[in-house]
Amino acid sequence: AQTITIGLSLPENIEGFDFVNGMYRTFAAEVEAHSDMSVNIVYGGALGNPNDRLAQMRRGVIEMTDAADGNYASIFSDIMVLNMPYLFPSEQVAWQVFDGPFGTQMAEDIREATGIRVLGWWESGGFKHFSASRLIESPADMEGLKMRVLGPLATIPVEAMGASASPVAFGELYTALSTGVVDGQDNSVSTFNLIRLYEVQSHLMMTGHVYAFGPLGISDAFFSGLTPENQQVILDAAATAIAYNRETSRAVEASAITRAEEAGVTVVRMTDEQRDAFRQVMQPAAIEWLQGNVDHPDLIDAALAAVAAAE
Amino acid sequence: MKALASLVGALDRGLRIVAALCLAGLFLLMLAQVALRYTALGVPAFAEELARYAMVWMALLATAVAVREGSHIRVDFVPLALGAAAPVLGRALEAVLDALTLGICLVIFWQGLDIVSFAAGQRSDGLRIPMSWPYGAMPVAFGLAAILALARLFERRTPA
Amino acid sequence: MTDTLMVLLGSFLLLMLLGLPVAWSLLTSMLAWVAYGGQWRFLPIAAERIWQGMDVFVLMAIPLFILAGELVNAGKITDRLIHFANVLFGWMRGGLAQVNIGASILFSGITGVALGDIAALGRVFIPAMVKQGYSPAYAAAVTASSSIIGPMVPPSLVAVIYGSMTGLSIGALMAATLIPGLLIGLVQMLLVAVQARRHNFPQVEMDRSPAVAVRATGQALVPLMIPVIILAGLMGGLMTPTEAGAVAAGYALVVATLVYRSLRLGTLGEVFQRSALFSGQLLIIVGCGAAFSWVMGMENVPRMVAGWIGGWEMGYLGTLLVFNAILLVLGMFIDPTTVIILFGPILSAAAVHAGIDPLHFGVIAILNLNIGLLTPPLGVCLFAAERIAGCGLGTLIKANTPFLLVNLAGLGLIAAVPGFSLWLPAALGF
Ligand code: NA
Ligand code: NA
Repeated sequence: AQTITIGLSLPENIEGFDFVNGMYRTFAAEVEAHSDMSVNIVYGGALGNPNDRLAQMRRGVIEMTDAADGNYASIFSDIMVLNMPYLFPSEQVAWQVFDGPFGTQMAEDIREATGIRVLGWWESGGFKHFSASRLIESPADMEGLKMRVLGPLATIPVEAMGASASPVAFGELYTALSTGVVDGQDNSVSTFNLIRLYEVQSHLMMTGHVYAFGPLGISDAFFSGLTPENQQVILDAAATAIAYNRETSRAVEASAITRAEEAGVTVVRMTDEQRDAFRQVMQPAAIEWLQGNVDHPDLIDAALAAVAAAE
Repeated sequence: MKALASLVGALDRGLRIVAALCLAGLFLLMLAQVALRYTALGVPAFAEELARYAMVWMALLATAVAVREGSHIRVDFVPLALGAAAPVLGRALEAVLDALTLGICLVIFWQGLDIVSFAAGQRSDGLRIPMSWPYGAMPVAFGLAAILALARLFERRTPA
Repeated sequence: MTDTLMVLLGSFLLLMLLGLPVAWSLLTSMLAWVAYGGQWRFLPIAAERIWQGMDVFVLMAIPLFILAGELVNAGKITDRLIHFANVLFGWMRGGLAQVNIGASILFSGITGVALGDIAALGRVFIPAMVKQGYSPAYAAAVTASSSIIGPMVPPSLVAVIYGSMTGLSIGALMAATLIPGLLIGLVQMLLVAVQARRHNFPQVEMDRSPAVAVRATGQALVPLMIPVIILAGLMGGLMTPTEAGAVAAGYALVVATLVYRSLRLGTLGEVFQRSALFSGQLLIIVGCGAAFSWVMGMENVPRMVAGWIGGWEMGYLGTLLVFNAILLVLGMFIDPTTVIILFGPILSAAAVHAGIDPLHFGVIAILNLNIGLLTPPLGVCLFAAERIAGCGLGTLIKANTPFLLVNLAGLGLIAAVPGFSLWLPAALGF
């Protein structure tokens, strides 16, 4: 019988990230209950960084890994279209786009380009929000702030607001924020809490500018070699796992916000008008960059249209 | 034979210089990163990535030089003790270890070619350059290391 | 333990004992594992992991602090520091050895990386101690041993990683490691004092008139500004610990070329070449270690260990003793960061289960793993100090044994008295 090796980033028992580890455990339980396949989950980044594990999955050395959107961008540039600021108005709309024709087509394109079959799309803690050492209510408030963001697609919209972008390694982020090397950052609330940023950031603005997600990938060579029955088991298990992921991710974010507030962070809820002001500065800057840097720039309009149709 | 020896010498010197230039590059990039944070320019998103790639190139080229020098970090009780007790056996052990090093360099050179071609379609996160450039350090450095390991085996057989 | 895992560990230990370089021993044992299991599709991973294991931002502190150390040394800045140190401590028996440890305590505020400490200070103190008549092995032992104070005093990358992995407050963790870090420095200084009396270590014969003292202080002020600038830069938020390496090197470069004019352009090329070579010798082990760790991951060693631990009920003291033993053994083979990422959460959770304060356990784990940098077979700090002293690993390990023992005694004390770890974070309100 086949063994499915899954390489994950986080340790086995880590609080607040059940939407990733729990999703894969759900998948493993379903697969093992309904077939003679076995699943070997390797936790804690023991097999390397997400980009490294993604390469191992493409080679068929491991069968699955929890690489997220940003990792896939290095082997499939079109996926960055979905990282456009303020593309999705809500998680529910995002899910509809991912589960609809747009997401299905992109999954197929990824399979052809990379040899990874995307079984579905999971949520990586929800939207990313800006946190900073001071209150931010409008794009103008970003002026002069030193923001830690990574990669051009995150850098350019931040610079468009007059902030200066600075790459700081994840391992140095806490110290960099506590000493003021940088003033702010953007991540999901779960990641914000993971490295205790509530100790070093006074304000968490619920800007929700970018949706963090991941393709639930499996080595296509492995999948194609399975019997039709086992393929069906995998597909069903993936559907169950993603349903678990999305429900858990929503619940986790809600409690993570409470946790940050309890730790003394001022959580700033934004009105639709406030978010729109951010969108008007950030989105055009990102679109301009995307047009020159993805393989199929026509996907930008297609994504916007898919969102409009889902709304 | 003499021409070959001077060729190896030139290769060795060249590698040292390129490795030193990589170090100078990453040093200047990191200094610039500190300085530019306080200017309106901001820190270019690629600085961190370029510095990392310079470090990997530097380290791998230096690895090749250290193969020639025989200066890689190792636990040397047994070779030293054996060399003192039975010089012939000691020399034989060193030759076997050098041959093993040559074999490893060849395997990694071969697999390095594989990872370069595998990464060909992949672009880096910051610079958006083909990943075959940074990964290229593997076959280049281990290929040269294999040549230098071979040179070392010959030098051992014919002491200067 | 599976037979494939035994092939991996067995061939690694055998090859390293025979004198194959550490990097190639790690790599060859992985290849042996691939061949034994007939898993040839895993072969490219060896090359991939070497590259990826080195392509890590925080590793940049290694070449940068090595460069800073080489520049300080080649620029003869060292001589002025040592002259100053002699005025201050030269009257003591073993004065320079004490200064070596004291400088490490001062320097710990600069770097969170033990290797950075050896690179920057070892190049200064090892030749100077040898010049004063200490054996190269002893000079290397003092340097290696005192280097582990660095990751205990903030800023510390290890503390950041430990906090991230276990969910502990990083600020509290850094506060918790401070006093234990100073305590380790103190027990090392006591050891040197005892050895100095027993072995009649050199004092420095010199003129100690006020005029000489003032001049020495003035001359040392410029290099002594290095830690001050970096500390101010870190606390003031001008730079990250990794960038601090570049700033230190930049400052040393300016001082040596423009202020003292003690460094010629021709020498500068040699300095960069030497630093690159030394960095490469260390980084290739990190890369090959990543390949080796990948196999340990595929063999699910972390879960296996977690499974063993989960089955034990040992109580407070038993857990402390057994976990310390586990950490010591792990630290002998794997670098602290990797151990923390793989085992930190498992061990921390189990420690809490046994009634140990998680912050206290974090301090124990960080100190313990750093002691692992001083133990063969994979004692990176020993290797680095040996590189500078050129004394041979065998004699170094012998000279280092008393230091290892007092460090372990310090660890025992810190483990037995939670107050050393917990008082300061509580006082600071964490
Ligand atoms: Na430190
Ligand atoms: Na020292």
